[in-house]
Amino acid sequence: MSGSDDESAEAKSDRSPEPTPGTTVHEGRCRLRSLRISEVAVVAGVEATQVAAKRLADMGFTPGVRVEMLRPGRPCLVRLNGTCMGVGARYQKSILLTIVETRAERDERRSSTPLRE
Amino acid sequence: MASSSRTATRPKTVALAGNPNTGKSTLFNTLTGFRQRVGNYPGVTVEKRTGFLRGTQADTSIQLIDLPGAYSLGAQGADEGIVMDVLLGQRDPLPAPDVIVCVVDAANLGRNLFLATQVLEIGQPVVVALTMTDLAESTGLRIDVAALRERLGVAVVPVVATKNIGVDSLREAIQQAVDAPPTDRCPSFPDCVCAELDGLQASLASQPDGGGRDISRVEALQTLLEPGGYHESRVIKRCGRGLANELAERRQRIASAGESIAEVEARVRYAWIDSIIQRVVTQVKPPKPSKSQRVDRFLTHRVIGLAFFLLLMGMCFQSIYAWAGPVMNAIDGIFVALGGWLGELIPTGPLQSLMVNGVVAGVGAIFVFLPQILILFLFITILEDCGYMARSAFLLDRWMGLFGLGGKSFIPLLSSFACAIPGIMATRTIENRRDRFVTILIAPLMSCSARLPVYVLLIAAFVPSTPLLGGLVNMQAITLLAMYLVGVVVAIAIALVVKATILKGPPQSFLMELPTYKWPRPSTVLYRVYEQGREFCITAGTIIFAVALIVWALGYYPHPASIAQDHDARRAEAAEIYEANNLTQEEYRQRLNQIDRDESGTYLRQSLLGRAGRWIEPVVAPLGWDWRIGTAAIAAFPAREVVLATMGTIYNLGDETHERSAGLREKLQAATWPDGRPVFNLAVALSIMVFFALSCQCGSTLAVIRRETNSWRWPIATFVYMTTLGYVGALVTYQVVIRFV
Repeated sequence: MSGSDDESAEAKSDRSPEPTPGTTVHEGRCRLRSLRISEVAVVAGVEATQVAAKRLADMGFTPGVRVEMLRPGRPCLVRLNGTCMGVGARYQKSILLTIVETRAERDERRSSTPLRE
Repeated sequence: MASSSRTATRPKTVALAGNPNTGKSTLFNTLTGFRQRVGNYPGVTVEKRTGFLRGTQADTSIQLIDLPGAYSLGAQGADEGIVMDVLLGQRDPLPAPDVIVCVVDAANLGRNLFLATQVLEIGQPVVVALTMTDLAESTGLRIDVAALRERLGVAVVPVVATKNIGVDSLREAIQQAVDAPPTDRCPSFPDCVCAELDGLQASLASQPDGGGRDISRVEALQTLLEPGGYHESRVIKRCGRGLANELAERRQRIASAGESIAEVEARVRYAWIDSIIQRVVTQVKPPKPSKSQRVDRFLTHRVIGLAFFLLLMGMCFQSIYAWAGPVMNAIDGIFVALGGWLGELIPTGPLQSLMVNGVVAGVGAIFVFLPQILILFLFITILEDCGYMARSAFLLDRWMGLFGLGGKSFIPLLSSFACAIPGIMATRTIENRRDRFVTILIAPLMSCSARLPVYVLLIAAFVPSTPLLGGLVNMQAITLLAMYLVGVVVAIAIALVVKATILKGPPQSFLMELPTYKWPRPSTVLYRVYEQGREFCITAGTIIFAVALIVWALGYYPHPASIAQDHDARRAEAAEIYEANNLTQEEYRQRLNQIDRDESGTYLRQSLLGRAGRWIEPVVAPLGWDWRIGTAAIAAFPAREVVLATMGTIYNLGDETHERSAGLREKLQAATWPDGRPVFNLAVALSIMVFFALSCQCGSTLAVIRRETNSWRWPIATFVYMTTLGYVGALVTYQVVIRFV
């Protein structure tokens, strides 16, 4: 298990706009582990072994699905398709997301039209 | 009943499938009226639950099978694969179900329909039972059931099992479904995948072995899309290694066509499901955080949640000891009385001894623990039913990960501190087979309450009560704590070693749904507790009965008449003295009692058990033990609770000794080797305690392990490794401590 310093540095670099050497995350994308609380993102893909990838996909982590971070950490708590799910550290590293809205934007949207899910 | 050609066919077997936490079990209980049988599928550790439909005459011939909850028919091992196996009729003696009831949670329609679409593709009649509609409504969702029916092409019946709503309609729908044509509504897979599926089905149908069995499309799909998965391995076993190459080629072609093997099924199904949801589900009120979510804000909080959990566990253990105590004494009293009554009834001889000292004492020693076990089952079942277990697994996963385990192992291991039996039975919630087996292996190392009397007695007798840390704690308390820690530390080491060697495998990361909280239903909970209690009594009872007989026999035979004669002579002597008025009645009674105890002691000492103890004396001498300790340790193997009674008997104190009896303590302190050295000292006491901490001296535990793992390998392995650990631990403890003290 890497020390917490390494992990948070990696997590930060996941979010940098320019790809930093050593990561292969593209612009605008991040991994689940660096999603902050209340942020909403859309699944872009899964980078994992076939077994892990199929398990995640079958549970609902398919491209295009909205994910909201409820409680970051190890494991983290997210809302996916209306269900609360706990996701462990290994899977958090594997799930790639595109951030859709930050917390501020979400609060603004919520105060306007009711949501059609 | 004669059936004309116009009588509708009756379904004979109905299977219930669905996601976990959808109320499937509650529905099953309602449909069967709690008339159920629990068994095991061979080679698999999940339970097989069947029952008969309750209701009209027509209904009661229908067998219902409750399948384990599953998110998908894809499987990584037999425990997961069992669902599809049963649905396809590949598990003798269960026939293929005539109707499949797919339980779908209305509040989580999206993910629940994933399994439903797979089930629909099997081609058998399906009825969808829509549960938790009340919950969905409370979050502002409205479901157009008619539209859902039309989109899926099967009957959809809203059901609220807890309130018995819709259950009759479900029964009717099941009856009618048999004659309905299977649905043709299905998500369509991309051409490249369909082509490979067709090819695979054709190729398997033409195989000489397997009788050219038509492989179901669902099975073909899972075989193709899960390399190294359970279904693939089953098909390869049937059709030979050549198939492996063919599968690899087909997957390669799919990949070249631009599709991802891991993603394609999920993508296709969820896209189809989304289109259904668009049409069928409307959000009539803005979603507000449900009560469940608001509670979770605290209960999944890293600090508050953990504190709450510890508090809950503390309360649980406190009540176990508070409530169980009086009941245990009562049960103890009953068994002692029963023994006494039988003693009066049966004339002295082997039968009397067998019944009183063998059966009643042996079985009684186990049933005394039943209150504790039942209370523990009660807590575990309530926590699971209300949904809190998932939160505890969530909170603890991080810490358990340090030992190579998952969050779900915590509560089983914690329960084992009271008694390993409910703890091991609680491991059923751990889906990962490796994690489950490791947890089962180390659960007996958590010092259970049966070890406590041994610790208490030996510590009181041989550990000085010197105050430490300026009077804050004393040495005796620290020693007690140390004994518990010995078990825990060794358990962690074993877990790490086993996970790195025998049960090696990629660690499974946490991925779990946190179901909505719900009030546990008393009938479900109590039935579960009764069921588990019954299972314990049968499983443990039979083994203990058998082992108690063996140990009794070893302690009784040979039973030379000369001993009885000697002691009768002493009794006659005492009677003479009493007659001559040189003894008060009280003294006479006491002397007679002592003669009785001496007699039992003598019998034991030269019984097979006693001789075995002396025979192994050279083996236990490095541990600092003499043959009497060895004898007691052997006698304790079926149930460690009897060790004090055995020691009492060997020292001629009778077998009603308990840990606080001053008599036994004094006798131990005074016991000597033939050459006069005292047998017991601090080092010996510690070595005995360590032996008890690390050995598996509980036949019930082994019996339960056998039942839960469905094989003999694991209980035997547990027994062997723990006895070895106990011996080595006791050896090291004695040899080290004796040098310092």
